[in-house]
Formats: sequence, C-alpha cells, structure tokens
Amino acid sequence: MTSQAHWLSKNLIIVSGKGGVGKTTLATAAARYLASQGKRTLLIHVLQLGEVEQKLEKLAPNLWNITLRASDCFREYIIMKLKLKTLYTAFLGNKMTQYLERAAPGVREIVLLGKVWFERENYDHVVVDMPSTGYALTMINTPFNFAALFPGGPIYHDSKDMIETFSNPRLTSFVVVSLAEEMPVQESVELAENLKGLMPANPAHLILNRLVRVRPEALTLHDTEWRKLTDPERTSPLWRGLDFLVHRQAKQNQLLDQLKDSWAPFAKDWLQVGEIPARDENQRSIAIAELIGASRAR
Amino acid sequence: MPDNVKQLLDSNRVVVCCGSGGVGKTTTSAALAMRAAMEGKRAVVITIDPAKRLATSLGLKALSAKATDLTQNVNDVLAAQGEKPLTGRFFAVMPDTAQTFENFVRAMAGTNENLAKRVLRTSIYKIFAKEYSGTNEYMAMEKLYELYNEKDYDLVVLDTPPAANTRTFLEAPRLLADFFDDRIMKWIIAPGSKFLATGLRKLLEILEKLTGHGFVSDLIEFTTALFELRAQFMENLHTVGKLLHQDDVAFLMVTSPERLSKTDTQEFVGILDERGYRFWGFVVNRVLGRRLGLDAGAGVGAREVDKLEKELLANSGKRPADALKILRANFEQLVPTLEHELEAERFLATLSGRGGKVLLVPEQPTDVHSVSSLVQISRQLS
Repeated sequence: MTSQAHWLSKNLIIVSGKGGVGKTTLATAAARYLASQGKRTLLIHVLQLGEVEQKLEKLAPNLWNITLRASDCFREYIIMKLKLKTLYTAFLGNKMTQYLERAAPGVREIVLLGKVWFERENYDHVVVDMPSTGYALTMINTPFNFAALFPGGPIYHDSKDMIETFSNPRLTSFVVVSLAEEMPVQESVELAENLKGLMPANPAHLILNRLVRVRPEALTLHDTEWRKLTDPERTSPLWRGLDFLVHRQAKQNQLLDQLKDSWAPFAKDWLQVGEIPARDENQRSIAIAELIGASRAR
Repeated sequence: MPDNVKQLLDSNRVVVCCGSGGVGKTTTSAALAMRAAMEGKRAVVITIDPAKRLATSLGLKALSAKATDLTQNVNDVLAAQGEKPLTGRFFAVMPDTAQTFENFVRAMAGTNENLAKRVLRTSIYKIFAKEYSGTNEYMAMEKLYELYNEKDYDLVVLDTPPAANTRTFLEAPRLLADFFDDRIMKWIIAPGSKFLATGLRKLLEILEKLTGHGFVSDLIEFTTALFELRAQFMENLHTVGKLLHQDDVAFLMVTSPERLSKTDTQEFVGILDERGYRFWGFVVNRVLGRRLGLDAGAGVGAREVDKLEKELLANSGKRPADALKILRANFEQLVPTLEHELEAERFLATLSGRGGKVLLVPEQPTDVHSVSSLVQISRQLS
C-alpha cells in the first residue's frame, strides 16, 4: 500500500456506515491525524435530522469543525450564485428558506452536499461525518438526479461538477466504517455496491472498527485440565470472559474470511481498528488517530 | 425480582419499542412478542426495517405486509430443543417500505387513483427521497392502528423504523405535519396575503434561477396534488395520535451500554412526559456483565477480580501462577467495558425514578439471526 493510494491522502474524505459503528469517532480521528501532520483540515458533520446552529470552530491547530444547517447552506448558496446582497436576503428569512428547503424535495440534500463540495477548495482535507447508510446514499444520489432531470440552472452545473469530483479517485475517498459483525458488514457491502453503481471508478474503502484480539497464550489456556479443575460448572466470570473473547474472535475471523470475497471489488486497502479500551470519546479518538497514522506509515 | 416482563405484556395491548440504530431494537421487539406467545397470547410484531433483519432472523427471505403466522417455525425450534410448543401464537408483519412515499401517497389517496398518479408522475417525485423524513414512521403508526383495531391480537409490538435518535419516532408526525403545513402549501398554490405572495414569488423566482426551468412548475404541480391529500393525512394522524395516548400503550426505549447517549435518553424521556405518552422503561441489550454471570451492580475493580480469583482457586489446590496471570490479564481487557456498563446502569436507574423499569439482556454468544437465538433472548428477558 503506497501512501498515495491511501484514503487519507484525498482532498475529500466521506465517511459513512451503519448506525453505531463509530463513524463520528473515526472521522474525528482521521481529521485530527491530518491536522497533526500540518494539513489544513475541516471536519464537517452532516445530520440526518434536526437543526443546530452552524458555526465554524477551531478545535486544534490546523483543525476546524462545523455542523451544517441546511437553511444556512441554502442561503449561502443563493447569495453566492445569484450575487445577492443583504437587501435581498431580507426576503430569505430563516423561516422562508426552511419552508422551501422542506417543501422542495432534494433541495436540503443538494445544498448540504454542495457546501461540503465547495469547502474542499479552502482546505487541504475535508473529512465528512455523514449520516448512516440509507440517508447518506440518498444524499449522494441527489446530484445525479438533478443532473438528469432538471437541466439549465446553476444547480444542474454544480451537480455535474460534484459528480466529477466524487467519481475521481484522486480527489475523493468514500470510507465505509463497519464492525466485524454480520449485520453491519452486510449493510456496508450493500452501501459500497450502491456507491459503485453511481461512481464505478471510485470504489469505497472499508474500515473495520473494534476488532477483538485474544493473546495466543490465553488461547492455549482455553480448554485445559486446569480449567476443568477450577471451573467445573463453567460459571466463573474470569473463565467466561475468556470464552467470550475466544468465541468473538472465532466469529470475527470467519467473517473476515468471507469479507475477502465480498469486499474484493471495493477495497484497495483497509484498516482494522482494534478494540481500544479508552474511557472517553476524546481519548478513543486520539488512540485511533495514532493507529491511522501507523497504518499510513506502513 | 418481580416479573417486569410479565407485567409489561399483561397490562398492555401495544408496546412501542424506540431506540437509535444498532441497539437491537428489532431483536428486542421480536423477542417480546415471542415471549408473549410463550405465555399464551396472540402476539404480533410489526417491523419496519429495510434491511429485513427480522426476516433473516426467522430464516425467511422476506416478511409480508400481511400478518404471517410464524408459530410453527418457533415450535419446530422448541421441539428440537425438547421444549413444549408455544401456548399462544406468534405473528410478524413487515409493511412494504421499498417505496414508502409512494405507498404513503397511495394510502392517502385511497380510491382517488388519479390523484395519486398526479403526484407520482412529476419529475420532482423522482428526487423525492424514498425515505422522506417521517413517512416510515407514519406507515408504522398506520399499521399499528390497523392491527390494533382488528382486535385479533392480545398484543401488538411495534419495532419503530431505524433512526439516528430515539426521539425520531416521536418527532415524525410533527415533521410530516409541517410538510403538509397549510400555510406553506397554500402559499405555493395560491398565496392569500399580498405581502406573503410577493415574498413567495421572489423565493420561487430564486429557486427557478437556481434549478433551471421545469423544477418550479413541477414543484407547484406536485404540491397542488399533495395538498389534496392533506385533509385525509391530518385526520389519520389525529386518530393514530389518540391511540398512542391510550393507557394500554407502553413506550420503551431499547439501548445498549455501548450506544447509550445520556442526552438522547433524557430528551426521549422528556418528550414522552411532555406529550403524555406512557413511559414503561428501558431494555438494555448486549450487557456483557450478564453474559459473564456477574451480579447486577457488582463492581469490577481489582478487589472484585481478586475475589473472583479466590473463588476459582477454592476449587483447586494447585496454583499455576502464569496461567492465572494470563487469565487475569485477559479479563482486564474487558474491565473498561464492564465499568462503562455499570455507569450506564446507574444513569438509567436515576432516570427510572418514577417507576420506570430496566431490563438487562446479556450479550449473546452469537449474532442474533436464528429462531433459536430469538427464543433464547425471549427467555432471558427479565
């Protein structure tokens, strides 16, 4: 794996996956790592639902963070494209743009994705913490729909440009985060297949989060005479803890084996982020950032 | 411990399972319905899950939009385990979510097929997200209402659609109502006030400039047709809303220690309270401590591990020191997870002060995707 081909080397890094697999943690860790390497990095959070104030904040040297609000993105877009000044924007009170963004299908998705796409020029890297699989796919579908159905306006042209950027493996990487469990993996493969249908030239990368690793010396202990002596009823939590991890690891290895085939059309590299026993998200994110750095240097 | 589950299943006719993605909501819902069937009830689970997880779990390719009697499938497994068959019956339903918005429009339009056609033939409909916020949730409520009123079941368990937040299900009707908001639609179709008309015309002009020709005229056509569905929608929403407020309807939150978000949980409980829904309690899935056989609330600090070690050695005079060290080191890998669980349990206990219950379900040895693992979980619910 050359570092050039690494998903981290792209200008636009789009992270999605099933709910609960660690998208936000991983996106944050990746952004943190890039910033620590001296790259100007923006971490963008896109919510499926809900409105929070859209405010750019600086998290660390070289690292900025923003959660998008569709009505703000929409207004910015209108002002930029139609060269409107404040006089006009009086009409575009928050309520009005919110209404329109809700009443006009696709507008929410296209302005959110558009904002992500525009920001790429202002940073070395833009890392996007996307909503989970279903809605992420809906969003990425939107420029394709606008480009096919409504020719003529700026949204049409920007949609075509967005598609070009997303399809270019030198500019954009799609990262699918998963756990090494059956359901999340199945959903990840589905997402990757759907993305490939839209952007055949730019297959997604897979990241497996929270892998289990049992020490070899613990494995050999698993079924010994000593166990029978000390835990005849197999009820001791100490032994059950070992059973649990051994079992988990066996299932996981089985799944990794199957993945070699089902993921073959997509992955050029993948990173296995192991079980990291960190108590808070920040600690965890730093630990993963270190891992990402190590994987890149490999 | 008093049998919380029995109380839940005996004193309610509807159980609504809410929760964010990846917490085992579908599994819990199915296990609750199955448990009710074990206790002699006719129970049905409604699942709205594009990933068809429940179907897979039950060893089926797909579930139908009509209630399917799966009692025999469960009994086969019970028989293989040498257990008695269900005394009740177990059904499952999966409304068709492949084209939710289309179904939604068709359901609203009823016999007026022409109206449905008008909505669905616009280009704009094609970019209308299939999973438009709220339609899945709405379809779930409709199905619930239908099954409840068939009076054919003792218990209906609703597995709410996959969502980022626990409160999504509760917010969905409002989102859809907003979408059908009189004012926006009326403005678009025939703005009443001159001031608003001017504002809206400007806004639509802007939109036309951005999207090129076709989009805005399409939007007006789409909206006009949808507007005609509005009255039906509002009426249905009102009826379903009334059902959800009845005192034989219990809401519970499914979560897991790993995925538990304090804000999300507090918001959920707060919204239930504020809107007068009945909060029953929490189901906490994938509890590792339970799987390992640790007592509820037992600590996992060095002292407790020492004690576990002593218990273990009481059975054997020998003491292979390095083996013990390895075993202990292995267990210590799990300690942060176990500590996190304890904290989660403590947090939920503070929230369930007003009589809310907390059910803990052990982490399962395998991914849950077979009838026998569902049976296993049904039994473990306590």
